Amino acid sequence: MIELKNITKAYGGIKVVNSIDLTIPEGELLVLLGESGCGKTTTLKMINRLIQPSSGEVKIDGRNNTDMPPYELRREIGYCFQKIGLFPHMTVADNIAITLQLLNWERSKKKERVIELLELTELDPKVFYHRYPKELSGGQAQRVAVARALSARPKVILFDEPFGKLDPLNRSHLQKEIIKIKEKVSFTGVFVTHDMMEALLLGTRIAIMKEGSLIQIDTPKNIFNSPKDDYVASLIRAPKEQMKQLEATLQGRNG
Amino acid sequence: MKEQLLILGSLFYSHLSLSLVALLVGTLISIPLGIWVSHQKKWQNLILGLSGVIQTIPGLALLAIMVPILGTLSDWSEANFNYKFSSIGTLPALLALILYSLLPILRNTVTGIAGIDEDLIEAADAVGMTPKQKLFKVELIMAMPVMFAGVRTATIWVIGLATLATPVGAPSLGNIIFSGLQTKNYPLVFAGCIAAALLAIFFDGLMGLLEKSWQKRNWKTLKGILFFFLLLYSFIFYKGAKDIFFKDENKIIIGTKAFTEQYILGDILKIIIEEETPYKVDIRKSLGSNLLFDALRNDQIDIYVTYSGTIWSTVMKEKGLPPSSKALLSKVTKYVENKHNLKVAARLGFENKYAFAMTKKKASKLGIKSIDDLKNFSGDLKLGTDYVFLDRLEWKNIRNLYNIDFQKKIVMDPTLMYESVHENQVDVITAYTSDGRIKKYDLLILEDDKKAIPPYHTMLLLSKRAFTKRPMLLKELKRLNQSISLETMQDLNFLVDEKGKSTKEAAKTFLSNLKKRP
Ligand SMILES: Nc1ncnc2c1ncn2[C@@H]1O[C@H](COP(=O)(O)OP(=O)(O)OP(=O)(O)O)[C@@H](O)[C@H]1O
Ligand SMILES: [Mg+2]
Repeated sequence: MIELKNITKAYGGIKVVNSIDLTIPEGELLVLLGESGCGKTTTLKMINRLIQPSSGEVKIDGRNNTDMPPYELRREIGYCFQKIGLFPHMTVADNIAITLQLLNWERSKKKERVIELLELTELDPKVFYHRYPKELSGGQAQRVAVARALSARPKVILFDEPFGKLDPLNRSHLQKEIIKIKEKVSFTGVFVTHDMMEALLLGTRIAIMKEGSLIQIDTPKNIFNSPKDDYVASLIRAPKEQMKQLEATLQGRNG
Repeated sequence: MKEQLLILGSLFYSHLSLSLVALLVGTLISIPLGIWVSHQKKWQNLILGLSGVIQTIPGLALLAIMVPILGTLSDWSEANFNYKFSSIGTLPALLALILYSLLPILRNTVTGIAGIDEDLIEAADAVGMTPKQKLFKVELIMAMPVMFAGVRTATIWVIGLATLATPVGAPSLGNIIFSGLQTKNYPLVFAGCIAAALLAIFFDGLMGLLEKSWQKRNWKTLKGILFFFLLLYSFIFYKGAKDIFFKDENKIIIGTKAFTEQYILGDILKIIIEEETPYKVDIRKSLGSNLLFDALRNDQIDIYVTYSGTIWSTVMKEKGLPPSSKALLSKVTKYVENKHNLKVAARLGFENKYAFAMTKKKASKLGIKSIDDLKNFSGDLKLGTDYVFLDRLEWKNIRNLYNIDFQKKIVMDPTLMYESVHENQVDVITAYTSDGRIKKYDLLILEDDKKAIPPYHTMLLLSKRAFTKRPMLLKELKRLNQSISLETMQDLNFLVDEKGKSTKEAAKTFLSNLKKRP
């Protein structure tokens, strides 16, 4: 369980995250949705202390996240980057196993776990184990980043727009994989995106942010059916309208 | 030839070991310092600025200034801890080279670390690295290529700069460059430069290979190179330790200044001592003229040849008009022997002092015979002079006593003065009286009627240790008293400067003539 209690982050007097309260129960995948610059990444990074909140506190399983040194906290939290962030001087295997190495796992166990994760993220270990990040496509690199976040079997995983830079096909493929993984391994997750379709597909619940504040938080179904205000409604409308427009265009061409 | 190669080899080794030790220490200081300031933004500019300032000090000056600094430190340490260390030789050279190597490595460490992608640093944090793990697993590795470039730059600078270690008494390839330039032995100069350049290119290339094999994960080559360095450094440190702890106490060290006459006299002394006594001799050539006296006083060298006027004006720091020749000599001798416990082993018999010289042709055309005659031409004539004359007492005295000046005063390398007066590029030069080229170009020495220029009797000085513990030395060297006339010295200098003979050959010529005499 993750609890955000009245957390605020201000840069030079400007509050980019404004007193957010949020409780994410065990096993839930909460999607944090909002347009660019609304404070999603900032909120996420305050959970694993990559950013220090200006005020408020974060608790994980009832423990304040400042109770232990940041590096210990982070070894227990998987983190998947908006910018991927693989280490270019390490092989795919070493990248995936980095946290395991920091935790002093045995060599054979590490190797076993890496192979398991490569298979889980549908990367052939025979092909990818010894590769370096620059020898991967965007989609493959993103899978490795997901595998790295999962490696130490963390109870909490944070995803920051992990599929932002992928083509639609790869993207939907990986989305399905996340769902599959979620079924196989249990974790509590926060998934940041600005794509409503992705949010609706993946989220146990969706939290909608605007200019640093939380506007609505509910299940995909409830959000879809009863948006709280015009802003949320407009977020829902966008993919709907796109679909309609697409159908109309295609039919128009056919006819 | 074989002996010359041996000398070249030993200078090459000294040069190599001096540079490599400086680089190692420099790297060991500047990389941790660079890492530290990378994480301490407020010190960063200060430290980079300071090391930048060191870099702007000309190499020769940085080396030279180490000597008085170390001398002061040594005196202080002797007063407080009863421990003295050498202020000339390897130590000052090493310190200066270390200082010089700091900036490129420091700067590149800082820029290398600063240039790492922020996202990677964040990734390192996010996967749970401690600051130390982040440093070793990510920052240093990512910054390595830039840091390597810094070390390579430092390598080239230090190996180049080490040629200037000669004047502070550390043997290097600079020895043959300096003496080659003085004695116009250009092949020797060339050999010295080429050897230094090859050394720089070799180590730069080796570092490049090291880096490449690291990038390409070619561990075999990497290990090979590291092993080579390990062996090289082990040898250098082993040999260095041996030289320090098992000093050959029977070695006599002769210091010389950086001009032909001094090299010849050094060789003469060496031959005599090695033939007539059981002692071995090391010559430290081309030492800075003002550190020789201190070196002798501190037993860092045992013998050197100096001139009474030099001691009088630059060591005793006497100002004003010199006393008579005899009075000055006795004053200087007293000062040296009573005040500093040194020994004047012999006065060689000739004087090497400054003198205004002109071609006889021009002098007779203008009717000039003495310095006093110059005042009729004040403002018409051009003076060619060496680097120091215009700052010396001689010039001050001459101006005060004779009230003369020149249209133009051209400072040049002393080896070029004689030719330029001969070629009419200048009218008067500040010649050295024992230089063979006075005779060659048939120059006229202008009379110094008013005695503005002090006498410069050539004297052989012995350190306290040398004359108290090596009585044989004094006995042998005393025989040189009054043994070299001005003409003889001019001829010997001429042999080297104009006839292409080596200083050693000149020394042998002199000694064989000496033996023939009754
Ligand atoms: N270090 C900082 N200093 C000042 N302002 C910052 C800083 N980091 C972020 N911000 C501002 O805070 C706001 C929220 O940033 P954040 O990265 O959380 O947005 P986001 O919702 O993740 O956007 P995106 O979808 O584009 O990634 C932005 O307006 C950003 O400009
Ligand atoms: Mg973001």
